[in-house]
Amino acid sequence: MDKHGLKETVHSYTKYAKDLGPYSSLNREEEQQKGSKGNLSESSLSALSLNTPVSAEKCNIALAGLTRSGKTSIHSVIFHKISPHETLFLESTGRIVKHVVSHSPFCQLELWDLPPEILQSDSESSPSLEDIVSTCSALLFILDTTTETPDETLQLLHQTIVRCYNVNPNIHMEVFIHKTDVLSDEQKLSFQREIQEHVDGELRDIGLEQVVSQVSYRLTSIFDHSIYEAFSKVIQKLNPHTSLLERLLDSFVGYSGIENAFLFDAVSKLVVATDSSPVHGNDFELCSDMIEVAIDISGIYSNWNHPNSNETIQEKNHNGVEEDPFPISSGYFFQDSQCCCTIRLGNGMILHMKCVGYYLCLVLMARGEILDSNWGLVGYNIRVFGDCLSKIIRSSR
Amino acid sequence: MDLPAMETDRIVSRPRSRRKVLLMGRSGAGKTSMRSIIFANYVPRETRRLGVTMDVEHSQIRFLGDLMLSLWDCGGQDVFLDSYLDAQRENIFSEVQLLIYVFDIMSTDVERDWYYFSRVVDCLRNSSAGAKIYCLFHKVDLVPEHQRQAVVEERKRRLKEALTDSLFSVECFATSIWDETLYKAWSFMICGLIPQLSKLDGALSKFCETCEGDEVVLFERATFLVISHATLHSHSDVHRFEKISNIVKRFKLSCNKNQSHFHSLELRNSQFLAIIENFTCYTCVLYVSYHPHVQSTAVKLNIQCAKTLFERILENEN
Amino acid sequence: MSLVTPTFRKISSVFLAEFDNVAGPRNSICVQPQSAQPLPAEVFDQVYEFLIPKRSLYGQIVSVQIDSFSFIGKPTQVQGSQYKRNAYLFNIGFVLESSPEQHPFIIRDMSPVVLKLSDELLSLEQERGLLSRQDWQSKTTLRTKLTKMVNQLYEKGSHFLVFDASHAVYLKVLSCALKYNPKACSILHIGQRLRLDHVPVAIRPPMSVRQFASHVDPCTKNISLHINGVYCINQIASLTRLEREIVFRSIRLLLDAGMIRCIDLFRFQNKYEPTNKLQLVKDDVSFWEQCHRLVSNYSKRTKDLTRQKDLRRVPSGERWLESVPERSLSFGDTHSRSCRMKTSSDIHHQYHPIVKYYYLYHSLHRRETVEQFVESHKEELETVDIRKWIAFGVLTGIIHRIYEYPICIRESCLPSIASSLQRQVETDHRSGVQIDTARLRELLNGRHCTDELGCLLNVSLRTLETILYKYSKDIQIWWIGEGQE
Repeated sequence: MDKHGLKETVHSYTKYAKDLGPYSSLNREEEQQKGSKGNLSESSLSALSLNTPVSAEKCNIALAGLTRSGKTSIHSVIFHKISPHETLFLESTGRIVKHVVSHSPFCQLELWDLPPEILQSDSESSPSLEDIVSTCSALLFILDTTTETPDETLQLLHQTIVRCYNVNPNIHMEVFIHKTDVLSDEQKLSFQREIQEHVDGELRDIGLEQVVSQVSYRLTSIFDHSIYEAFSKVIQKLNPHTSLLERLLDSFVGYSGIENAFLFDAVSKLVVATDSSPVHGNDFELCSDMIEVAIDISGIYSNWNHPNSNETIQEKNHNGVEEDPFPISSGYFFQDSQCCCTIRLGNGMILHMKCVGYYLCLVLMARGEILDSNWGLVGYNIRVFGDCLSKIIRSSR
Repeated sequence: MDLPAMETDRIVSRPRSRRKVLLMGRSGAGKTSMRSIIFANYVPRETRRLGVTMDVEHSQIRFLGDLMLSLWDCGGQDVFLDSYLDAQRENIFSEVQLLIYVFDIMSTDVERDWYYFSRVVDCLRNSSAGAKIYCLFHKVDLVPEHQRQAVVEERKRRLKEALTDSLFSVECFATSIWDETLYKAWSFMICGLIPQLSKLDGALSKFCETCEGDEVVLFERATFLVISHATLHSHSDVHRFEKISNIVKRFKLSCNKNQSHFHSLELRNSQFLAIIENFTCYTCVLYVSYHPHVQSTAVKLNIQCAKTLFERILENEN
Repeated sequence: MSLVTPTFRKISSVFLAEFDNVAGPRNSICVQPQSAQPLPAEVFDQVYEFLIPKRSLYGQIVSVQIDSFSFIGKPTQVQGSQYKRNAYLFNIGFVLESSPEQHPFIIRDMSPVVLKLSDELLSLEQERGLLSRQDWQSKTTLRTKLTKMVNQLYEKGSHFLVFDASHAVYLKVLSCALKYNPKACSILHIGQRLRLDHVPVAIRPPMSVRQFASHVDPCTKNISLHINGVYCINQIASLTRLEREIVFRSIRLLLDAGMIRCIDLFRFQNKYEPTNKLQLVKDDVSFWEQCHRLVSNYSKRTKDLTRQKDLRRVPSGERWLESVPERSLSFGDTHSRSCRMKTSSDIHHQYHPIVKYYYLYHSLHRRETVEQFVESHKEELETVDIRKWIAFGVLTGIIHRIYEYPICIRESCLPSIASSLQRQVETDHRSGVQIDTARLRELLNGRHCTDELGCLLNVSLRTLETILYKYSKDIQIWWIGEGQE
């Protein structure tokens, strides 16, 4: 889609909205355009479903790292909503623990929390590292920057990479350079460079040049948003639909005249997909905080024993999906497809969130003056997007 | 905050009513931590980084525009307490409107805690008899949940004993920086200083009815402490306002990181509509309605219209 | 001069105070020299708020005078998450017997000891938590060391304090056996902000300044050799090859000790104006006689004046400094009779000298450069050494310098200023200099006066001023007198 065309569409919509008032004529026009787009996505869908066997099967991710490096903390913070300062009290994981995460269709994971002993080459545990890794699509190696034995850690990292590659050459390998909240920006970068150079060098030395590109490095900390961003990148990598979703979001953004659109997994607040336009510094964080605000406030007021609200709750429960793993208030939030939230900021930006079902939330960032004259159009586009999304999800089941 | 220029001018030109608030308690009770959370937008976790309070730290806080809180955060080391009760007595205890005495509920030296408390109350009675006293039993999060009630009751009983011969009536709160109890307590304490509160309550109920709302809450804008609320039906969650304060404050911090600030929020789902908007210069309003046909734009318009009325009420009498 | 008790004999106690998180500030160690007068117990109660003061005073020498005692200490804060309240606060210092008027001198003599001692304890605390560990052993160690130290200081005025191989320090109480005199006290200008372009001038006989400096440390001694009333701090730094910070510190020490004063470079472009103080000394005959003694000159001035004016036109930025007569501008002890000048009866003039000097100082105006002033008062100035005359005025505080603080009000002009400065420097001095726009923006913010800018940019003042005046639309210049009282 060429940029020029996009701009013109937006412009003409704004003009229409001003001149015509009601959106009926617009909608029709939009429907035509969207129709063609809908077709496009469906065709690409069928193509995709041919070569990637997508099923309800979950992605396996192995979490490895030295003792007290923060493996359990990471998934507790992201998936169990433990507040970061409470992770100090978590016990060390002494054995292999499997955590099943089943939120949105794009966030179906099995996390294997591995005890540090399994990484030692002479470990006799069963199942061994090789057994586990052979079934995994990704390996997360958590590297503690505050460790007192950096040399051993690096040694272990490079060993583990080699072992995993030997068992499963298609595996994605991710190194989380963890607990970086204590470092300055400069220190962070030099840390990353140092580690990366070391590992790359070691790999080249033993002739595994091709593995170098398979390892990614991310700077993380549970005390800020970086862990969410890093984990989002990982699940985006594992999700076969990511590029399709991105294209969908791109055209959505283009047609609606907004700045950015994110598709969030509402429970974990991981980003499933974003459009391809650049994102400013903390926008991710702001959007995920916004979802949290919406969940919290809904939680407070949704279970008010109010004369008017009783029947609606019952009605909803009938429509709801069979199993609801969440407490009634928040679970209700994720299922309620009418739920939407708008936050206006002092700098003229508007954040708009809409639940699109399947535990997914669409969050938009737009300039106030553009969005305010286009609400009807954007609302319609969101509906179309939702339809496409359910098509994708249905086809993958 | 982005106040219109005209408004600020008017406020600067008028004398404000000052209220002297003493924040006392023994060392390590958590006085400075709570002050930082309520008035300086600290996140609870950040209070670990706070240093010790030397002697008295004074801060001037403008609350609701016209009310000037002059908050005396008094360091609680024994040497300091002795000097407040002795050498600095006149300076500290004169013209006090409000004493907030903080107890560390986990304290091991209980006898000394009570000793200082009763001496402080004595001094206060001599120097400013009209002052209100509130006691906070702080850090209740450290008491196991099932014992909490009993422990707090025990402390309240001790408090009554300590005050048998005193004219003051004392209210107590069990608080913790990790949940909304702190906001609850501070909202209550500060609201006691607002003279036009009853008028405000009345006007708010009327507004709530007019807009077909089920609940309307008025927050102070900078601290997000609850000033007043109108509720049509009883709600099971008594801490909901403080939870909302907490939620909004957290989001505001996140906005600050993005070099922006929070303006308004509108949340609608199949059950209810909630709106949070800036109201008068120093307040924010939360509106909740379960009426399925209420239009958000209409509510916003009503909020705009009610603004002048509420501004007049808030400015009166001061 | 009568025999004065040396400062170290006045030590009546050394104390180590720390902040206890429950009890508050308290003295953990307080030791008296064996042969000193016992210290009344309630002395510390009066100063408890200075033992561990509020945050703003950390890292500075804090001194208090109460009754007949002087307290001097350096409250120090060690930050770290291992401490309960994220910081350990302590204060090491001394109590000395003194009268209020002796207080500044006591502080001057004790400061180096307190500074060194607190630095040593700070590093001991940072390395192994010697102070914050409340165990019996470390407390005893500290107590024994401090007891020995205070006794030695009391007996000899110096002590070599050894904790271990890497923690040893030589402490010496300065003692210059000065005659305490209230007039000299007023010369102390503790608050003066030092700039690179300041010229230190000895206000005591050069020998005693050097002697004093050699007591402090080798750097200061080295620096004191270059204090001749001609070199500015920047030049001293380059001559001694010491870092500017070190030079600043030593100069500050000498300044606070009342050994030197810092004045501005004298140029005919400088502007001065009289201060309120001029009215105070108006009728002080001895003051004006002293002035006359120091500033009058007998050789045929008119000729000399023109010669000097020619010199100032020498284009090089630094050269004009060297052209100042090599005789140093030392004023000696203002009260001693070391000056070899003749008395006022030797000159024949229509004014009585007192009236003349008062009138001359009075007619200085902030809009008029010294050059213009000399032109318009040629006759009166015939027998006056203009340099000394100005220096005398500045040192006694009856006149002050007017500084020009350029502020850039339109940033767009900065690149062109930078380039024309560069060009000008090249034409003036045939040497290149790199001037960066960003640096210029930083400097032209109204915080630096032109003199300082010259040093910071490495450009001669004349060049700088030519350019700045050229851009008068974009650069506003504020004229501010030095705030001396």
